[in-house]
Amino acid sequence: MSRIVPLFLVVLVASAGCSSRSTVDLTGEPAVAPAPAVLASAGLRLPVEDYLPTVEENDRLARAQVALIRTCLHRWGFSYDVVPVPSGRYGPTSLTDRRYGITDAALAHQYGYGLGPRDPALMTRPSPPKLDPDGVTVLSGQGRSVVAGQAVPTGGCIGEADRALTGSLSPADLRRGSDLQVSSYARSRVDSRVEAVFQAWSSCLARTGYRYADPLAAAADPAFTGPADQHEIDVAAADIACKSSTNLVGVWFTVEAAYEARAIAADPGGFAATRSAIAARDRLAAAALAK
Amino acid sequence: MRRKVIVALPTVAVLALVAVLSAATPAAAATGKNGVVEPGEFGLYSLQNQQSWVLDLFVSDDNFADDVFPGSTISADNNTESYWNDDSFWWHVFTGANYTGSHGCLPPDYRGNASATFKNTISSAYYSSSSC
Repeated sequence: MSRIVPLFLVVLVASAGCSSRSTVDLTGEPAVAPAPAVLASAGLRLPVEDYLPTVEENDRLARAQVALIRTCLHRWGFSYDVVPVPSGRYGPTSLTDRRYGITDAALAHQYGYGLGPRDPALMTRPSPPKLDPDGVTVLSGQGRSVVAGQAVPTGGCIGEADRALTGSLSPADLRRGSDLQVSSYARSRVDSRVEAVFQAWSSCLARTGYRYADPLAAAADPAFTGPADQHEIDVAAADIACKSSTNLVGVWFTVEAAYEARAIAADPGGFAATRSAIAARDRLAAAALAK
Repeated sequence: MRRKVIVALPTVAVLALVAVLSAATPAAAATGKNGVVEPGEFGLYSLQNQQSWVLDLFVSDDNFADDVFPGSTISADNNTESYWNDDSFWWHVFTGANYTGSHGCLPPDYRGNASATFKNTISSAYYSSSSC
């Protein structure tokens, strides 16, 4: 999937990188350039994504963790048969997919607000690893401190694996990007520019006979909890059409990106440390898998 | 409580997990939405610090709008303040139904209170082998 980075954002972030922490005003609503016309959100890329692990890094981390735990448990003779689920095949395809509500008209035409073939409900739930109480103690670190004559690591094998994959890296550095993507969304949702486009979208939808305050309210309609019927499909289609005519996605994305760019500009050192920490952790994960 | 804020990202924590905690009990033993957090399940509580009613999920749920806390008539939609992930998987939570809106991830063996962003705003969730 192509990742779209509007030029105005590149300029905004580049400019921000030249600012010092003390000169960036984090109060009030950030200025934004005119929003580009956008409907499909899945390919959009927010500034914060430079400070989040990639899908590959997350997967590598997960596999390394399992490998380290398995090695640790083996010292006591326990097996650790974790069956991973194909997470990349289900759920939203990216951070921005469905972030501003549904935008895929073809999917909506068939599944309404549902995810269709990417619905996590289609996953087959694996059985968890089977461990006896001693195994659980060694795994989690809960309970006795010595099992079968061997000291249980602090936090169990999970703790041991966690330490192996973080070393001396700062949790705050590792977490800075994820914290920002949560806060930028919350702030953007109550931004006056976004609230205005919500009203425009709501008025548009009302002209088709449906009344919702914002796109997430439509997605959360209790009437839409089962398989999509024609009513749900009609509402979903109208929702997306009104997003297109009001440029809701373009406006919301532009505003949220501005909050993120401003936050990154306010703390360039911190975000640089985040990028370094994520890369360092990925090297630790790769090394663990190479053993 | 081990962590105070919903973690949208990996601290490395434990992915693999613990769930295993679940370990001694086969997955088939877990019964979702019976008001008891069993090994392999993700519990969302109506109050902070894992107090009061709990919606226990074993599989994904795309819309809490039709869920009440088991044993009550209280809606679980936009009405949860703390978690206990007793699963070996990560649980992904969303502020919107049908996996829309803001997105956060809770690692295996996580217990904690929702941050301001996620307090009383969660409307859908699914499990995954990876963080987000």
